[in-house]
Amino acid sequence: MITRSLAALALVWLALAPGQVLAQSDPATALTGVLKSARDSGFVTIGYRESSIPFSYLSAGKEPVGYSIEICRALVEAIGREVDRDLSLKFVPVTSETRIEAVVTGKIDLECGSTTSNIERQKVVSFSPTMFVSGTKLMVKVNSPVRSFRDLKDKTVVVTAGTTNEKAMHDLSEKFKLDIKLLVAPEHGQSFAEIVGGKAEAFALDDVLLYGLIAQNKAKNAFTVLGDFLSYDPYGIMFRKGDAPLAKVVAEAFHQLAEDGDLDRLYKRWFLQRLPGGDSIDLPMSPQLNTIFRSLALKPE
Amino acid sequence: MTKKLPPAAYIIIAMVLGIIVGYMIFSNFPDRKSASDIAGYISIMSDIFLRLIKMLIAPLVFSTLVVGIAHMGDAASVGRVFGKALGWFVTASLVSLVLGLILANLLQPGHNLGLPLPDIGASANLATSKFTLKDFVAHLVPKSFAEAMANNEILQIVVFSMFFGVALAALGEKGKLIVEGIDQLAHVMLKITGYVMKLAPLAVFAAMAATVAVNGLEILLKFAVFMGDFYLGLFILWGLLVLAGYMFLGPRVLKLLVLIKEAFMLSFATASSEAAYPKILDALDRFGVKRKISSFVMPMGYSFNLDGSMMYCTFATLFIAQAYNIPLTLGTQITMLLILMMTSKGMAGVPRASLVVIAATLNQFNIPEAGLLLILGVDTFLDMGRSATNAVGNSIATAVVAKWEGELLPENEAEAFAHSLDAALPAAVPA
Repeated sequence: MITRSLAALALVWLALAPGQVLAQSDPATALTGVLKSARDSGFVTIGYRESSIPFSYLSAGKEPVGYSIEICRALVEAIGREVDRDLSLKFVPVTSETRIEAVVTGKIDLECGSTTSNIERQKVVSFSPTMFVSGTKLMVKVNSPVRSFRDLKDKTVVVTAGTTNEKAMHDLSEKFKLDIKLLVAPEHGQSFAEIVGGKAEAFALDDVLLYGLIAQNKAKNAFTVLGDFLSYDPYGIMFRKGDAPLAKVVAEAFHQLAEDGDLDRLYKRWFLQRLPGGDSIDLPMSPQLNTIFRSLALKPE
Repeated sequence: MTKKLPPAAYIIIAMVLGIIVGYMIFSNFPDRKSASDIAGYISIMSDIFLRLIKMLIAPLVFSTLVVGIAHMGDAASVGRVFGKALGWFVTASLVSLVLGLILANLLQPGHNLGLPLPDIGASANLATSKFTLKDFVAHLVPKSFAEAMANNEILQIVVFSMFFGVALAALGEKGKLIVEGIDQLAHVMLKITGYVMKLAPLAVFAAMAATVAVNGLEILLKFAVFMGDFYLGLFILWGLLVLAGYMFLGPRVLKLLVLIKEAFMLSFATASSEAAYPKILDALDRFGVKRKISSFVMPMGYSFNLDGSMMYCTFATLFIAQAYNIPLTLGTQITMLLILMMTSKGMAGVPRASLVVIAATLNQFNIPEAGLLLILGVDTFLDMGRSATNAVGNSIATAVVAKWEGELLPENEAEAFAHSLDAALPAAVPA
């Protein structure tokens, strides 16, 4: 009886086997998009920012470094494993204005900076899973009575001209009827000076930049950043829309990075430890990002 | 000589101490960096505990289940228990989903939120990994037993163990040696569980302290309405589960609640329903559920019977829709519920998988996924409630199936058995 069932098993296997062989065609010919160009050329083009500290910026040695850059290095390694070839990185600088076009036209393969992933942009480009959650927060003096945005009624808040924070504060004031007086300064340094000089009760800016300013001005004992996000900007790595194989490699690589705890380590390295030739940003991981990393680590089977 | 405190008392003390110490750290270190550094060190304790549980769980499920099925005799009775368990799971899931839906509609937690909302265009990109029923079903079957064990794939282990147990039963006398061997393995694993559980109060203390040190307690006030409504929902769900248990088990269900209190607190503090698995198995033994039922129904329940997570799915989805003032017709809500019924089956006891399921649902119904960013900030506190609820739901489900199958010992026998378990302990651990 045992031999009979073994024979039946062998028959079934023979019947199924050809299908399996066919499914595994030659990988080199099946590649498309960035995977194909990487396999053919041996490199992946990385778009970097010159001064998006600590995400993507030029080190003293004029080398692109940062949190996003290191994530991209891991992504390129994953692409290399997928196409079975050691890949090198080619760096191309991009700015806020040029970054999306550079991805769309194929000038760069991965944009590794500090780009907010939103639905508007997702119409033209694709985004990796969220690697950082930024957003508007308030900086106040340590002894300020303001402990939350609710305490801002009729108070003066300084913002930098043209930022999304300006709009966020405007909306907030309207939604909660706070009659906040907005003081608009042309540039972050000047906004900071306004709150130092006491002209404003609070300074509204992306939290990561606020922590940067505090570190830069060695003002840890004078100012504090309040906990609530008043707006949310999830950052991601940008790549060309419609490149499904690349999207798959990116999603799987993020899952792996999250599962192995590499994302946590990279975060610590760039947000909590001293930056090369500079101070530490000292920005602990937000509960939002922490939860996102935990969910990324789940198995997407 | 003073009377020794019961283990549950230690856990309650650990929990309270954890909250106090955590809050002291939170308020004495105004910069969040130091607070989260310290929390990181404290949580080493709970991390180790959870790792030990993970280490135990695969061999524990395998050994208890194989022995259970081998004793069940034939494939037909395995199928019958499977059918009954599944029937209960589907009903409980449906009730949980509907309860979340009703409460969200009644209480309207998303309206007048009093919090700044994420911009409608922001995207948390959580849904990149989708849980689909198709993938899930294919994934049920292990392609390698070693891989299933190595990755702690409980359902795959269940599938393999079912084959193994049924085959052993079919072999009868010839397989007796293996059945005995695996039975002994089960005892070894339970013994190790006993050692690991000694760490439970420490783990509870560490988990609570770390959570509170990082998040503080003020955040609970900020989300008071949302949290309050959700926990109210959980209370109602517990009530319903106990009521359903009462219908089958009678007043004995209260005894069960007393027995699982440690497991309940453990999963609450560590926000992991897995952590409570060995403890619930032990509690069910004492309640009089025969191992052949509990070892079978429990691991399945960890995939199919996540009552707390289910309720959270509808509740959170509707909460976000309300926050953005997106009206959903009753028809849409029912469709959503049915889809969740399918997609949520892949969540498989993973602490945060419900978030991924919710993200996918939001996308499907064009509700801004950005809303998730808002509740991600308090997810730890919600996860605690979800996990504890899942533990309650699973133990009641298992007890009911046992009763239904006639495999529940009468109360006096169960008590005698529990005493024999307690008596066995000091004998096995000398001095």
